[in-house]
Amino acid sequence: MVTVFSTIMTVGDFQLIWIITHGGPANATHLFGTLAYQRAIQGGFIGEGAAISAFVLPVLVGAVMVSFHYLRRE
Amino acid sequence: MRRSALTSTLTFYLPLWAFLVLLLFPFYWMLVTAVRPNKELYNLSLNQLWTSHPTLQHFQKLLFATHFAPWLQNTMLIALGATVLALSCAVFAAYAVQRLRFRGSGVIGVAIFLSYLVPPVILFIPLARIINELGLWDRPAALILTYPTFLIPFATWLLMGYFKSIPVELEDCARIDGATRVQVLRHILLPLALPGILSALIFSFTLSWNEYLYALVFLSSTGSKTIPVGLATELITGDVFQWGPLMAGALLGSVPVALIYSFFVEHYVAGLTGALKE
Repeated sequence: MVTVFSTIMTVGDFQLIWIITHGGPANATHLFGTLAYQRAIQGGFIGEGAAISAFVLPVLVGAVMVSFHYLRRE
Repeated sequence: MRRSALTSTLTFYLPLWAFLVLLLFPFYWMLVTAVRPNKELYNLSLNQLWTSHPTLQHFQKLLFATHFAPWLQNTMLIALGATVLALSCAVFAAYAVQRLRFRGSGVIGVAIFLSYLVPPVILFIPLARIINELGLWDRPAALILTYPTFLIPFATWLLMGYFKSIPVELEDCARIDGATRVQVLRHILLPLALPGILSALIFSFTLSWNEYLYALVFLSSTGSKTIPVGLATELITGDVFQWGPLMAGALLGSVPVALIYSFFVEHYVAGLTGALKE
Protein backbone atom coordinates (compact mmCIF):
# COMPACT_ATOMS: atom_id res chain seq x y z
CA MET A 1 0.00 0.00 0.00
CA VAL A 2 2.77 2.41 0.92
CA THR A 3 4.64 1.44 -2.23
CA VAL A 4 1.61 2.14 -4.38
CA PHE A 5 1.09 5.45 -2.68
CA SER A 6 4.66 6.55 -3.08
CA THR A 7 4.73 5.43 -6.73
CA ILE A 8 1.76 7.61 -7.52
CA MET A 9 3.11 10.55 -5.57
CA THR A 10 6.49 10.29 -7.30
CA VAL A 11 5.17 9.99 -10.84
CA GLY A 12 2.78 12.85 -10.20
CA ASP A 13 5.34 15.06 -8.55
CA PHE A 14 5.66 18.61 -9.68
CA GLN A 15 6.92 21.11 -7.19
CA LEU A 16 10.30 19.60 -6.37
CA ILE A 17 11.29 19.28 -10.01
CA TRP A 18 9.93 22.65 -10.95
CA ILE A 19 11.65 24.51 -8.15
CA ILE A 20 15.00 22.78 -8.46
CA THR A 21 15.53 22.48 -12.21
CA HIS A 22 12.44 23.67 -14.16
CA GLY A 23 12.83 20.46 -16.16
CA GLY A 24 16.18 21.62 -17.51
CA PRO A 25 19.01 21.52 -18.42
CA ALA A 26 17.88 20.80 -22.01
CA ASN A 27 14.67 19.08 -20.82
CA ALA A 28 16.70 16.35 -19.13
CA THR A 29 14.77 16.31 -15.84
CA HIS A 30 11.15 16.63 -16.92
CA LEU A 31 8.38 14.51 -15.46
CA PHE A 32 4.88 14.42 -16.93
CA GLY A 33 3.72 17.22 -14.69
CA THR A 34 6.48 19.67 -15.44
CA LEU A 35 6.38 19.03 -19.18
CA ALA A 36 2.60 19.40 -19.23
CA TYR A 37 2.82 22.65 -17.33
CA GLN A 38 5.48 23.99 -19.67
CA ARG A 39 3.53 23.14 -22.82
CA ALA A 40 0.03 23.99 -21.64
CA ILE A 41 0.39 27.03 -19.42
CA GLN A 42 3.65 28.60 -20.50
CA GLY A 43 3.51 27.55 -24.15
CA GLY A 44 -0.25 27.93 -24.60
CA PHE A 45 -0.76 24.46 -26.10
CA ILE A 46 -3.53 23.37 -23.74
CA GLY A 47 -4.37 20.21 -25.70
CA GLU A 48 -0.80 19.02 -25.86
CA GLY A 49 -0.37 19.59 -22.13
CA ALA A 50 -3.56 17.70 -21.33
CA ALA A 51 -2.39 14.80 -23.50
CA ILE A 52 0.92 14.68 -21.66
CA SER A 53 -0.68 14.72 -18.23
CA ALA A 54 -3.08 11.96 -19.32
CA PHE A 55 -0.03 9.70 -19.52
CA VAL A 56 0.03 9.60 -15.73
CA LEU A 57 -3.26 7.70 -15.82
CA PRO A 58 -1.90 4.26 -16.88
CA VAL A 59 0.57 4.40 -14.00
CA LEU A 60 -2.24 5.38 -11.64
CA VAL A 61 -4.55 2.60 -12.82
CA GLY A 62 -1.74 0.04 -12.67
CA ALA A 63 -0.79 1.03 -9.16
CA VAL A 64 -4.39 0.93 -7.97
CA MET A 65 -4.92 -2.51 -9.54
CA VAL A 66 -1.82 -3.87 -7.83
CA SER A 67 -2.97 -2.52 -4.49
CA PHE A 68 -6.46 -4.00 -4.90
CA HIS A 69 -4.99 -7.34 -5.86
CA TYR A 70 -3.02 -7.51 -2.63
CA LEU A 71 -5.84 -6.10 -0.50
CA ARG A 72 -8.19 -8.77 -1.76
CA ARG A 73 -5.71 -11.55 -1.08
CA GLU A 74 -5.28 -10.58 2.55
CA MET B 1 19.54 -0.45 37.70
CA ARG B 2 22.50 1.24 36.09
CA ARG B 3 22.47 -1.23 33.31
CA SER B 4 18.89 -0.58 32.37
CA ALA B 5 19.61 3.14 32.35
CA LEU B 6 22.46 2.50 29.95
CA THR B 7 20.29 0.31 27.74
CA SER B 8 17.54 2.87 27.59
CA THR B 9 20.08 5.53 26.69
CA LEU B 10 21.44 3.40 23.88
CA THR B 11 18.18 2.11 22.47
CA PHE B 12 15.93 5.06 23.10
CA TYR B 13 17.59 8.41 23.65
CA LEU B 14 20.45 7.99 21.20
CA PRO B 15 18.23 7.17 18.19
CA LEU B 16 15.79 9.82 19.33
CA TRP B 17 18.48 12.49 19.36
CA ALA B 18 19.86 11.31 16.03
CA PHE B 19 16.39 11.60 14.56
CA LEU B 20 15.84 15.00 16.09
CA VAL B 21 19.10 16.35 14.70
CA LEU B 22 18.31 14.94 11.28
CA LEU B 23 14.86 16.54 11.26
CA LEU B 24 15.90 19.91 12.65
CA PHE B 25 19.05 20.33 10.59
CA PRO B 26 17.25 21.82 7.54
CA PHE B 27 15.61 24.39 9.80
CA TYR B 28 18.96 25.27 11.30
CA TRP B 29 20.45 25.68 7.85
CA MET B 30 17.48 27.82 6.85
CA LEU B 31 18.00 30.06 9.86
CA VAL B 32 21.73 30.41 9.34
CA THR B 33 21.36 31.16 5.64
CA ALA B 34 18.71 33.76 6.38
CA VAL B 35 21.04 35.76 8.60
CA ARG B 36 24.31 35.41 6.69
CA PRO B 37 25.38 38.40 4.63
CA ASN B 38 25.55 37.94 0.86
CA LYS B 39 29.33 38.24 0.79
CA GLU B 40 29.58 35.06 2.86
CA LEU B 41 26.68 33.26 1.14
CA TYR B 42 28.25 33.24 -2.28
CA ASN B 43 31.73 32.35 -1.06
CA LEU B 44 31.73 28.56 -0.88
CA SER B 45 35.16 28.31 0.71
CA LEU B 46 33.70 29.59 3.99
CA ASN B 47 31.94 27.41 6.51
CA GLN B 48 28.34 27.23 5.29
CA LEU B 49 26.87 26.44 8.68
CA TRP B 50 28.08 29.36 10.73
CA THR B 51 28.32 33.10 10.45
CA SER B 52 30.24 35.64 12.43
CA HIS B 53 28.40 38.64 11.00
CA PRO B 54 24.67 37.97 11.40
CA THR B 55 22.52 40.46 9.52
CA LEU B 56 18.86 41.22 9.03
CA GLN B 57 19.30 42.59 5.51
CA HIS B 58 17.56 39.60 3.92
CA PHE B 59 14.51 40.01 6.12
CA GLN B 60 14.51 43.68 5.28
CA LYS B 61 14.65 42.92 1.57
CA LEU B 62 11.93 40.28 1.90
CA LEU B 63 9.55 42.51 3.82
CA PHE B 64 10.06 45.78 2.00
CA ALA B 65 11.25 44.91 -1.52
CA THR B 66 8.85 42.03 -2.26
CA HIS B 67 5.11 41.52 -1.79
CA PHE B 68 5.57 39.26 1.21
CA ALA B 69 2.74 40.76 3.28
CA PRO B 70 0.06 40.28 0.61
CA TRP B 71 1.42 36.78 -0.04
CA LEU B 72 1.05 35.90 3.60
CA GLN B 73 -2.44 37.35 3.67
CA ASN B 74 -3.46 35.43 0.52
CA THR B 75 -2.04 32.18 1.76
CA MET B 76 -3.80 32.55 5.09
CA LEU B 77 -7.13 33.42 3.49
CA ILE B 78 -6.91 30.59 0.97
CA ALA B 79 -5.76 27.97 3.45
CA LEU B 80 -8.47 28.90 5.95
CA GLY B 81 -11.21 29.12 3.33
CA ALA B 82 -10.33 25.85 1.66
CA THR B 83 -9.98 24.04 4.99
CA VAL B 84 -13.34 25.23 6.31
CA LEU B 85 -15.07 24.40 3.04
CA ALA B 86 -13.47 20.97 2.80
CA LEU B 87 -14.09 20.01 6.41
CA SER B 88 -17.73 21.05 6.41
CA CYS B 89 -18.26 18.71 3.45
CA ALA B 90 -16.04 15.96 4.82
CA VAL B 91 -17.81 15.68 8.19
CA PHE B 92 -21.14 14.96 6.52
CA ALA B 93 -19.62 12.69 3.89
CA ALA B 94 -17.71 10.67 6.48
CA TYR B 95 -20.78 10.38 8.71
CA ALA B 96 -22.96 9.23 5.84
CA VAL B 97 -20.53 6.63 4.56
CA GLN B 98 -19.64 5.34 7.99
CA ARG B 99 -22.99 5.36 9.78
CA LEU B 100 -25.95 5.43 7.41
CA ARG B 101 -24.88 2.18 5.71
CA PHE B 102 -26.94 2.75 2.62
CA ARG B 103 -26.50 0.51 -0.39
CA GLY B 104 -23.13 1.14 -2.01
CA SER B 105 -21.68 3.07 0.91
CA GLY B 106 -18.63 0.80 0.94
CA VAL B 107 -18.02 1.44 -2.74
CA ILE B 108 -18.36 5.17 -2.20
CA GLY B 109 -15.85 4.98 0.64
CA VAL B 110 -13.30 3.32 -1.64
CA ALA B 111 -14.12 5.75 -4.46
CA ILE B 112 -13.41 8.69 -2.17
CA PHE B 113 -10.07 7.18 -1.31
CA LEU B 114 -9.25 6.60 -4.98
CA SER B 115 -10.06 10.18 -5.85
CA TYR B 116 -7.44 11.22 -3.32
CA LEU B 117 -4.89 9.21 -5.28
CA VAL B 118 -5.49 11.20 -8.47
CA PRO B 119 -2.54 13.63 -8.49
CA PRO B 120 -3.01 17.36 -9.18
CA VAL B 121 -0.78 16.92 -12.23
CA ILE B 122 -3.68 15.26 -14.05
CA LEU B 123 -6.28 17.72 -12.85
CA PHE B 124 -4.66 21.10 -13.28
CA ILE B 125 -5.37 21.61 -16.98
CA PRO B 126 -9.09 20.75 -16.87
CA LEU B 127 -9.42 22.77 -13.69
CA ALA B 128 -7.63 25.70 -15.30
CA ARG B 129 -10.28 25.70 -17.97
CA ILE B 130 -13.12 25.57 -15.45
CA ILE B 131 -11.59 28.40 -13.45
CA ASN B 132 -11.28 30.42 -16.62
CA GLU B 133 -14.93 29.86 -17.54
CA LEU B 134 -16.02 30.87 -14.06
CA GLY B 135 -14.04 34.08 -14.37
CA LEU B 136 -12.05 33.34 -11.21
CA TRP B 137 -8.62 33.65 -12.78
CA ASP B 138 -6.06 35.26 -10.48
CA ARG B 139 -8.46 35.41 -7.52
CA PRO B 140 -8.12 33.63 -4.16
CA ALA B 141 -11.54 32.05 -4.78
CA ALA B 142 -9.98 29.96 -7.56
CA LEU B 143 -7.80 28.16 -5.03
CA ILE B 144 -10.42 28.03 -2.29
CA LEU B 145 -12.61 26.11 -4.74
CA THR B 146 -9.90 23.83 -6.17
CA TYR B 147 -8.06 22.81 -3.01
CA PRO B 148 -11.07 20.80 -1.77
CA THR B 149 -10.49 18.45 -4.74
CA PHE B 150 -7.75 16.84 -2.70
CA LEU B 151 -8.74 18.06 0.78
CA ILE B 152 -12.23 16.54 0.87
CA PRO B 153 -11.16 12.96 0.03
CA PHE B 154 -8.28 13.23 2.45
CA ALA B 155 -10.32 14.66 5.33
CA THR B 156 -13.23 12.32 4.66
CA TRP B 157 -10.97 9.30 4.77
CA LEU B 158 -9.36 10.46 8.00
CA LEU B 159 -12.71 11.21 9.64
CA MET B 160 -14.23 7.92 8.51
CA GLY B 161 -11.52 6.10 10.39
CA TYR B 162 -12.11 8.22 13.45
CA PHE B 163 -15.89 7.92 13.41
CA LYS B 164 -15.47 4.17 13.15
CA SER B 165 -13.63 4.13 16.50
CA ILE B 166 -16.53 5.82 18.28
CA PRO B 167 -19.00 3.24 19.68
CA VAL B 168 -22.22 3.28 17.72
CA GLU B 169 -24.17 2.47 20.93
CA LEU B 170 -23.78 6.06 22.09
CA GLU B 171 -25.63 7.23 19.02
CA ASP B 172 -28.28 4.54 19.38
CA CYS B 173 -29.00 5.77 22.91
CA ALA B 174 -29.54 9.28 21.69
CA ARG B 175 -31.72 8.01 18.85
CA ILE B 176 -33.89 6.08 21.33
CA ASP B 177 -34.27 9.25 23.36
CA GLY B 178 -35.72 10.87 20.28
CA ALA B 179 -32.80 12.75 18.77
CA THR B 180 -32.76 13.23 15.03
CA ARG B 181 -29.75 12.25 12.92
CA VAL B 182 -28.59 15.87 12.77
CA GLN B 183 -28.92 16.24 16.54
CA VAL B 184 -26.94 13.04 17.06
CA LEU B 185 -24.25 14.37 14.78
CA ARG B 186 -24.14 17.72 16.53
CA HIS B 187 -24.44 16.75 20.18
CA ILE B 188 -22.90 13.27 20.33
CA LEU B 189 -20.56 12.60 17.47
CA LEU B 190 -18.91 15.97 16.86
CA PRO B 191 -17.83 16.57 20.48
CA LEU B 192 -16.46 13.03 20.68
CA ALA B 193 -14.71 13.29 17.35
CA LEU B 194 -13.14 16.64 18.12
CA PRO B 195 -9.56 15.29 18.19
CA GLY B 196 -10.10 13.67 14.80
CA ILE B 197 -11.64 16.82 13.38
CA LEU B 198 -8.81 18.93 14.73
CA SER B 199 -6.18 16.71 13.17
CA ALA B 200 -8.05 16.74 9.86
CA LEU B 201 -8.15 20.52 10.18
CA ILE B 202 -4.44 20.82 10.80
CA PHE B 203 -3.53 18.46 8.00
CA SER B 204 -5.84 20.21 5.55
CA PHE B 205 -4.47 23.58 6.56
CA THR B 206 -0.88 22.43 6.08
CA LEU B 207 -1.64 20.79 2.74
CA SER B 208 -3.26 23.91 1.36
CA TRP B 209 -0.55 26.10 2.87
CA ASN B 210 2.13 24.14 1.03
CA GLU B 211 0.28 23.55 -2.22
CA TYR B 212 2.31 24.69 -5.21
CA LEU B 213 1.01 23.56 -8.60
CA TYR B 214 -2.54 24.95 -8.49
CA ALA B 215 -1.32 28.17 -6.96
CA LEU B 216 1.30 28.53 -9.67
CA VAL B 217 -1.19 27.91 -12.47
CA PHE B 218 -4.24 29.83 -11.26
CA LEU B 219 -2.61 32.96 -9.86
CA SER B 220 -0.55 35.15 -12.11
CA SER B 221 -0.11 38.70 -10.81
CA THR B 222 2.66 39.28 -8.29
CA GLY B 223 0.44 40.65 -5.54
CA SER B 224 -2.05 37.80 -5.53
CA LYS B 225 0.39 34.89 -5.15
CA THR B 226 0.76 32.55 -2.19
CA ILE B 227 3.97 32.30 -0.18
CA PRO B 228 5.50 29.17 -1.78
CA VAL B 229 4.82 30.38 -5.31
CA GLY B 230 5.76 33.97 -4.57
CA LEU B 231 9.08 32.99 -3.07
CA ALA B 232 9.98 30.58 -5.85
CA THR B 233 9.01 32.87 -8.71
CA GLU B 234 10.08 36.29 -7.47
CA LEU B 235 13.28 35.38 -5.66
CA ILE B 236 14.75 32.99 -8.21
CA THR B 237 15.71 35.36 -10.98
CA GLY B 238 16.84 33.29 -13.93
CA ASP B 239 19.51 31.00 -12.58
CA VAL B 240 20.30 33.17 -9.57
CA PHE B 241 18.86 31.85 -6.34
CA GLN B 242 18.69 34.70 -3.85
CA TRP B 243 19.28 32.34 -0.97
CA GLY B 244 19.12 34.91 1.82
CA PRO B 245 15.63 36.31 1.18
CA LEU B 246 14.45 32.85 0.05
CA MET B 247 15.43 31.29 3.35
CA ALA B 248 14.09 34.23 5.32
CA GLY B 249 10.78 33.80 3.51
CA ALA B 250 10.74 30.06 4.09
CA LEU B 251 11.39 30.66 7.76
CA LEU B 252 8.65 33.26 8.15
CA GLY B 253 6.31 31.18 5.99
CA SER B 254 6.65 28.13 8.19
CA VAL B 255 6.04 30.04 11.41
CA PRO B 256 2.20 30.08 11.24
CA VAL B 257 2.02 26.35 10.52
CA ALA B 258 4.46 25.62 13.33
CA LEU B 259 2.37 27.76 15.67
CA ILE B 260 -0.81 25.91 14.80
CA TYR B 261 0.90 22.57 15.26
CA SER B 262 2.26 23.46 18.68
CA PHE B 263 -1.12 24.86 19.69
CA PHE B 264 -3.04 21.70 18.85
CA VAL B 265 -0.31 19.14 19.34
CA GLU B 266 -2.06 17.14 22.06
CA HIS B 267 -5.32 16.82 20.16
CA TYR B 268 -3.45 16.10 17.01
CA VAL B 269 -1.55 13.14 18.43
CA ALA B 270 -4.78 11.80 19.92
CA GLY B 271 -6.42 12.15 16.51
CA LEU B 272 -3.67 10.17 14.82
CA THR B 273 -3.52 7.34 17.29
CA GLY B 274 -7.31 7.40 17.24
CA ALA B 275 -9.47 5.26 19.44
CA LEU B 276 -11.76 6.57 22.08
CA LYS B 277 -11.53 4.46 25.21
CA GLU B 278 -14.73 2.61 25.88
